[in-house]
This record gives sequence, C-alpha cells and structure tokens, in this order.
Amino acid sequence: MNFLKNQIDEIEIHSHFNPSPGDRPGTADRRRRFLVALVSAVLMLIPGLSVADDEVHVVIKDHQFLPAEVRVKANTRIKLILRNDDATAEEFESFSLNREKVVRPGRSITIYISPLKPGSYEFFGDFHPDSAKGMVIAE
Amino acid sequence: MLGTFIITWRETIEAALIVGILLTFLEKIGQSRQFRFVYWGAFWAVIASLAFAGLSDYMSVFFQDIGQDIFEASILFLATAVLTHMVIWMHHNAREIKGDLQKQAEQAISNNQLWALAMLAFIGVFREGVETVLFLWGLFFQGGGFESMAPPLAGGLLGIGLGVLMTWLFFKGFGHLNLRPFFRVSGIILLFMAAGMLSSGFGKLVTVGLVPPLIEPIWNTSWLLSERSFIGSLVAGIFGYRSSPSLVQAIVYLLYFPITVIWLRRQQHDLAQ
Repeated sequence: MNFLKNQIDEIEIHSHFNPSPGDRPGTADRRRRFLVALVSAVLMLIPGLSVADDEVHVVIKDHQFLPAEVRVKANTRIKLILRNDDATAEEFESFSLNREKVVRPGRSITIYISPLKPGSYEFFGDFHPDSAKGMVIAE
Repeated sequence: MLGTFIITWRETIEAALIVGILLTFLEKIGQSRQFRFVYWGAFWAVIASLAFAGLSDYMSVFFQDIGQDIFEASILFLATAVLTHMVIWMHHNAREIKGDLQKQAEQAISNNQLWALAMLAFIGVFREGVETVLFLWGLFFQGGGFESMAPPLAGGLLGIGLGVLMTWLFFKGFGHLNLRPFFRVSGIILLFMAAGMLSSGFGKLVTVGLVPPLIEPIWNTSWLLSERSFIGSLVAGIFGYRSSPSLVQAIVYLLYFPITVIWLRRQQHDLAQ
C-alpha cells in the first residue's frame, strides 16, 4: 500500500509543475489520482506480478508426460511449464486442478496452479487419454 | 478409435446445439427462408477453424501461451454477449406471440438480427471447431501408415456424423413443442450456456495468472457429477460445469443470472412506456 501512496504523492508533485489553465483546480488531478490508484490496485491483484511462484517443467513425448509424477510444495502457487515435443497437439486437462489448455506441437505453455492442499491431483492429455496420464503430488 | 469417436461426438453436439436452436427458432417464426444465414455462419466457422488451426503456428507470437488464452477468453466473452442479446430478443419476440400456435405466421426479422444469428452460429461452431481440427489434424501425423491412421480418423468422422444426427433428431422431437415452451426451454438453455462461457472465459484468464482465482477450489462436487463421466463431460461442455471451480468463476456464473434478468426487466419496462 505504501507503494500506492508514493505514486499518488509523485503525481501530486508533478501536477504543480503543470497546472492546466482553465481547469477547476484539483478536478483533473483527483481524476488522475483515482485512475492511478485503480490501475495500481488492479496490478496488485494480478498474482503473476507480485507473487514468487515455484516453477516445474513437464515435457510431452510419445504422448506421455515426463515426469508423470510432478512433486510440488503444498500451499504454494505453481507455475507449470509444459513443453510438447511430439508432432501432434495435446490438451493438458485436469478436473481436480480445474485446468484445460491446448499445447501445439513443438510449443510450450504456462499454466498457473493455485496453492494446493497436500494430496494428489490427476491430470491427463485429452487428445491421448490412454497414454498421457500424470499426477501432481503436493506435499 | 473409440477415444476419437467420443471426443468429436461431444464437440459436435456442443456446436450443433446452438445451430439447432437457431434453425428451430427461425422455423417457428416462419422464416425458414433465412436458414442460409445460420448455415453461412456455421460454414465460415468450419473454414475459420481449419485456417486458424493451420495458420496459428505461423502467428506464434500472438497465439502462443498467454495470447492463446486471451484470444479464447475474448471469444467466450463475445459469445456470452451475443447469446444474451439473442435470448433477450427471443424473449420479446415470444411475448408478442398471441396464443400457443404450432407455427407462427411470418414475423418481421431485421437484417441486424439475421447477422446476429449468423454470428452466433459462427461462434458456436468455431469454438468447438478449432479444437476438433487440431485433434483430427494430429491424427494425420500420428500413426505411420494408413492402416494405423484410418481407424481413429474414421472414429473421429463418425463422431461428427453421429453428433449432427443426434442433434437433428433431438430437434425433430423438440420442434413439436409449442411456441411458448420452445422459447422458454431454449431461452433457459442459452442462458446457462452463456453463463458457462462467461465462467470458462474467466477460467482461461485464471490459468495464465491474469485474474486471481480468489479461492480455488471453493468446493468439489466430483462425487456428485464427475467430468469424467459422459454426462458430466457434456454438462461441462454445454453449461460450463466444473466440479472444482475457483471462487471467481462461481461468482461470475451466479451473478450472470440476476444481472441478465434485471436487464431484461428494464428493457420490458422501457418498451411498456
């Protein structure tokens, strides 16, 4: 919140150098200050910018996940980076993690997983559900 | 073969449901002549799906990773808006109808509404189309020879065929409903679809960390209805059901209904004056 206040102060200082003629004093300022506060508040809500995440890497090869068992810390947000080394598209899907995302051949995708309670969470490849199976184990 | 069959079957039912509602609706208001708008929308959606699945590799910067989710979320939000508009319009239309006629005399339909119908058909098919094309495309590269490739591909195409056939039969039966029940039932289906799309759109943004999930999961109803079951996967695809949703998804899903109803009421009020 301090960071927010600093920004507002800064704008106040700047506005002394640029008084807009004809405008009712303070109106534009207040509006601008409100806008900055709003943008800052929204930015702070975006977790990707404010929280350090644990990164894990998984590769798809021959329609299988490597590793198939992904061990992560419980109660921590996870940044899962999934690379598809196959020549075909795959869809990462997990009902318990509430995630679903297509990864094209030869590409990588990022999936943020919310902090997990200790336990295991199944995931699978929706395009090859027989072979592409995996599990996130939070401990 | 069975796996590919089930996937394309499911996707096709999801897409065909919207197309079916639009066609039945046009028929009910005596505008069968305008079917072509719906077919146009659906046709271009298939072309666009093929183009998108084929070309998106070359537009990699924009459609990779986060861009992909933002794009999908935008499509879903657009679909929510068009669907809502459609339901409100159908609702007003139904109010003007006097008596429960089996088939209404021809009603005026503006060009704008026809384009909205075409766009809705486009979105409904495009949404499922991209995934289906990517999936079937993959089958071409997968197995080495024709023999290993043919069964899954046949399964996939069979799934599309059966999906269309089932939806067609469904509307054959559904179409015998009188006008008012038809408007009511299809309106409710479309509203739930719209809420599901809105919530799925937020889900996409949560996945890439652009929207906070607030609490995730807020509950787990997989014991009641799992997305693994066939029914569960259909309910998930059509109505946006999630057994372990995030709070933000549940909020937008639940808020969608009162907001739409208030909007509907206000419009009726305006019309009455």
